[in-house]
Amino acid sequence: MLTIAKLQEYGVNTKEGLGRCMGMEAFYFRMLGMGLKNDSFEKLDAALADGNLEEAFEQAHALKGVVGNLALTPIYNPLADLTEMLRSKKDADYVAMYKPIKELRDKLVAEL
Amino acid sequence: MLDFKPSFYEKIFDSLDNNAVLMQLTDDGKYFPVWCSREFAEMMEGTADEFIKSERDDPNLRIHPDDLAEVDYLFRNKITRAGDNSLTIRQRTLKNHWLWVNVHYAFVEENGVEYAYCNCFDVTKIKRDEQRAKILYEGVRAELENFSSNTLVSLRLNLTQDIIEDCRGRELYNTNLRDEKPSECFSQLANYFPLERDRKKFLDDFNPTRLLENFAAGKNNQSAIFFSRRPSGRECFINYNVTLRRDPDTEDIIAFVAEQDYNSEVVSRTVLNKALADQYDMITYIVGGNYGVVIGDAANIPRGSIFPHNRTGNYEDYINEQVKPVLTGSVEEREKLYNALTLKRIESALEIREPYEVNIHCFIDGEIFHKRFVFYLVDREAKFYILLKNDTTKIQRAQFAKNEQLKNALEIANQANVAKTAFLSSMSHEIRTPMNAIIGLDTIALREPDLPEKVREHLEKIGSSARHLLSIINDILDMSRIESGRMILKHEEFSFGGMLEQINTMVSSQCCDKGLHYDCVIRGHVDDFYIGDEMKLKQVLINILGNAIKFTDKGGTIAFNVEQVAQFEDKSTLRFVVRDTGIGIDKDYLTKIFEPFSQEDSGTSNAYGGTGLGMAITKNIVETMNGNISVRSEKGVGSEFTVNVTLRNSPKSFDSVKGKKIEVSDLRVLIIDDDPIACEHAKLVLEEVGISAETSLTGHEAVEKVRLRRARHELYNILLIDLRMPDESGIEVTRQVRDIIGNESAIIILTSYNWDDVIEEAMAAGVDRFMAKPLFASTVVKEFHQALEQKTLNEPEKRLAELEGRRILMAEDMPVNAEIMIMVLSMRGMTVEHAPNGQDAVNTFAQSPEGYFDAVLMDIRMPIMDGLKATETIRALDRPDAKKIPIIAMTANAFDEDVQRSLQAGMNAHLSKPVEPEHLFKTLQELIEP
Repeated sequence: MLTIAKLQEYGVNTKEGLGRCMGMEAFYFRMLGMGLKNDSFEKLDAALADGNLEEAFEQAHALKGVVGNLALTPIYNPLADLTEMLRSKKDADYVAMYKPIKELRDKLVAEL
Repeated sequence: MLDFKPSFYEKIFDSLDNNAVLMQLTDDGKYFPVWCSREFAEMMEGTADEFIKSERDDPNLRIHPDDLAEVDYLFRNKITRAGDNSLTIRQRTLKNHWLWVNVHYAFVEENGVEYAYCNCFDVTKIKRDEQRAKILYEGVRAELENFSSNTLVSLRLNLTQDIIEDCRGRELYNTNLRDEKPSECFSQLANYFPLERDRKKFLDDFNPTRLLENFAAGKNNQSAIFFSRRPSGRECFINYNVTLRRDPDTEDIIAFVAEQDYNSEVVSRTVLNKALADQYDMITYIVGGNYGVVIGDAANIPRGSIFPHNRTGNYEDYINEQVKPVLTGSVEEREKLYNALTLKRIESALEIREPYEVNIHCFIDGEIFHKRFVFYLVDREAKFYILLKNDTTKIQRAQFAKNEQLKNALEIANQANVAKTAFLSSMSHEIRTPMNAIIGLDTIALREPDLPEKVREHLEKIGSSARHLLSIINDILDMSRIESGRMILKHEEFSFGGMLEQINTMVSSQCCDKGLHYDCVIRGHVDDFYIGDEMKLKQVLINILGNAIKFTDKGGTIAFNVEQVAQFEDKSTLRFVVRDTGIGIDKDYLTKIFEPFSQEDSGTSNAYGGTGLGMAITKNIVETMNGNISVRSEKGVGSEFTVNVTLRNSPKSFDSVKGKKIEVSDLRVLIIDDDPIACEHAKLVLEEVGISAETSLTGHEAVEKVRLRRARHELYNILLIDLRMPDESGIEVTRQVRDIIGNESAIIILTSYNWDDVIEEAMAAGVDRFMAKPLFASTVVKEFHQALEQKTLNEPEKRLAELEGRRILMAEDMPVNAEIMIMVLSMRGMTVEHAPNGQDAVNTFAQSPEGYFDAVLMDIRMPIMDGLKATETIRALDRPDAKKIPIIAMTANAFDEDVQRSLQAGMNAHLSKPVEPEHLFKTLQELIEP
C-alpha cells in the first residue's frame, strides 16, 4: 500500500502534489492511481519501440503534464528530458531512456 | 444848596476856563466843592450836582490817599508857590475810575468866606505814557545790567554827558572805567581786540559819535562778534552788544554795553554750519506757518535750486511758488509729494515719527533733481519745526550707478554660479559613468574563482578606492543640487527602527574596527514608522556619526541618542544627538563648520581626508527638512551635534506590516541595460543578496519579456531600467511596459546621471523611483523594499472577481489532469464543463447561451483539435462573448515561443503545468470580469 511516507521515499514531492489536490489525500491517491495507470505510458512505449517519434512526443508531453501535476518528481524529471529531446527530434536511444521511467511507474502501480 | 451868588463867578469862570471847580475852605481846615463846571463834572463822570453832593458828604473821598496830605497842607495853610500854584494828584471819578489831574489853584475871598479856585486838567494819558517810559527804561536797564553767566563786562555809558556811569562784570578791564569819559577811553577798549579787522570795525562802528548818530537815525541796538583777548590773557569770541535808550528822567542818551562770552556759540554755530552744510543746503525753522532760513545760501547751489527767494516768509507760499511748479512725475505722484510737504501733513507726520522725511523729484532746467526735506520737532505744541533740505541728486545718481553695477555684478556672479553648478553636475556624471565600469568590472573580476591572493587584494583595494571616489563625487553632486535648489525631499513611509538598525550596523562595525565604544540609546517612545526622506535623514546621521568616528581616537566613545521630543497634529519632532570624545573643534572654526569646502586646517584635512562638503550638505539637508542642526565642542574634549527634524506621523506600525514582509528570494527582477557589464554587475549584486534576476540588453527585448510574463501571470516585481540606452530611453521603455502591465510592478530607473531634469517625465511615464548606478548590495534590498512597500501602499486593492458560482469550460484530454482541475475548481465553488478536445470545447461554447461561461481553460496539445486552433475558432465565433471571454492556456510547454503562440492565438494568459491552484485562482480572479 502506498503511503505519503512511501512516496516521499521515492522522491515524490507529496507536499506539492497534495497542495495541487487541495490537501485531500484520498483524492490525491485516486488521481495518482489514475495518472499512473494512464495508458499513455503504454502508448509511449509502443511509439518508441516503433520509432514513431512524432507520436512518442505527443504521448511524452501529455504524460509530462499529468506526472507534473501529481508531482511525481522521479518520473517527471527524466520524462521532461525525454520530452524535450523528442521535441527537437534528437537522435538517441529513447527506449533505453524510457526504461527506468517505465520500471519506476510499474513499481508504483504495483504498490498502489 | 450853597447860598452864594454864582452869577458873578459864573461869568468869570465861563470866560476863563472849562474844567473848573470852586472849593470853599472852612476855618477848621476843611474844604469842599460848591460849584463846578459842566466840563469838570463830565470829567468826573457825573453831573455837577452829583459831584458836589458826593464831595460835600466826604470831601476826601475822591483824592488818592497818597495825594491827600499834600492837598490838605496846601489848602489849609493857603500856600501858594512862587509862580506855579499847581500840583498833580490822582482823583477818583464818580464811576470810580482813577484819573491823573493837574490842578492849578488860586485862593479868593468873598464876603469873609475863602475859596480855592481850581482849574483842572486830565493828565492821565500823559502820566501813563511817562510811567510806561520809565518802566520800559528801567526794564531795559535791569535787563542789560543784569549779569547772565556769559556776561563778561557790562557798561552804562551816558553819551550825552560823556561819562561812564557804571561798569561791572566778572572779567573787568585792567583800569576801572567808572566815571571815565567814553570819548577818551574808547580807543583804549579797542586794545582788547588783538585782530586788526576787529579793532577797525570796533573803532568805526562803536565809537560814541557813531552811536549817537545811529540813535538819531532810529537804530537803537547794534552788535558784533569780536575776537577778544581778555585782561587775563584768555582769548575768546565775544558778542559786543550796545543798546541805546533815552533816560526818561534826564533825557540823556544812555548806551548799555554788554560783552558776552560767545565762544561756545561761535564754536557750536560753526560746527552746525560746517557739519550741516555737508549734508544740507538749507536749515530753516518753521513756526506759525512762517519760515526763517537759519543756515544756507542760494549762491551755494549752482543748478537746480529751489532755495527760497526770501530768507523769511510764509512756508506754504514758498512751497506753492517754488516747489510745487517744479515737481515731476505723474499727476498722482506730484499731488502726493505736494501733500507730503503741507504743514498739515508735517504736523501729523511728526506726531508719529521724527524726523519726517520727504524725498521729491524736481524738473529744473531740463534736468531731474532729487531733493530731500527732513523735518524735526522743536516744540510740538508751539508747532515749531526745523526743516533741513538737501539735494540728493548726486547721491541718487551715484546710487543708481552703483545699483546698476551691483546688478551687473550679481548677474555675472549668478551666471558664474550657474555655470559652476552645471559644470559640477555634468563633471560628476561624466566621472560616474566610467566609475560604474570600474566598480562593475572590479566586482566581476573578484568573482573569478582562481584569483591569486595578491590580485584579489589589489582588486579589493581598487573597489574600495573607487567606492570612496564615488562617494566624493556624490557629495559634490549633492552640493551642486543643493546650490541649484534642486534637492527634492521624498515623503515616504519608512521604518524608523529599520533605519536606526542600518545605521547602527554600519556605525558599530566601523567603531569596532577602530576600537571605539559605540552606544545608541532611544529615549522614551518613538514610532515604528514615520513619513519623510529616509535616505536623506540617514545620510545626515551617518555623516555626523562618520565624522565622530573619523575624529575620535582609539578608546574613545561615541554616543548616539534618539528621542521624540514633541508631537503635534500629524507631526513629530525627533532629536538626534551625536556625542563623541574626539579631538574637538576649535572655537574659531565652529562658526564655519557648516560652510562648504571648509575643514579646520589643511593639516587636519590631509590627516582625515574628505571634501569638506559633508557638513555643508548635512546642514542643507536638515534645513530643507525644516529642521536645525547645532554643534557644541571643546578642543580636546569632544563634540556634540544635535539635529532636530520634524517628520510626519505614519498610521502604520510594525503589527500592520508584519504580514506584508517581502521575501527577497521570491522577487522576480528584470535588469534592462544596454551595457553588458552593467547588466552583469547588477545581476551579481542582486545575487549577493539572494535575488535572482534576468537581464535584457535592449528595451525591445525587455518589453517582450514583460509581455510574456504577463501572459504567464508571473509578473516581475521589479524592473531596473537604465535611463540612457541607444535604441530607446528608459522612460520610453517604462511607457511601453506600463502599456502592457498597467500599474503593476515597481519600475526603478537606474542611472549615473542626475535625474532631476527627467523626474517629472519619468513619473508621468510610470517610473516609481530612481537609483544611482552602480548598485550596492548594502542599499539595494532596502531600496527594493521601499519601492515595493510604496507600491502596495499606494495601490488601491484591485477589484477581483468572485470565483464562487462561476462556470468554466475546460478543454483537457488527459483525464487525470482534468479531474484534478475539476476538483480544484469545484473546491472554490466553480462548476466545470469538461471537453476532452478542442473541437468539443468549441462546440460546447458555441452551443452555450451568451455569457454562460465565465472563462475557458485550454490545454494546448489535444487530439482532434489543439488548444490554439480551438481558441482561434472560438474567437472567430460570431457572438459578443467570443471576443472577450478569458481563455487561459494550460500546458506543460513553458517555452517563451509557446507563450507567444498562445497569445497570438488569442489567449489571455498562459499558465504552465503543473498549475498551482492558487496561481490559477488568482489568474481567474484577475481575468474574469468582476
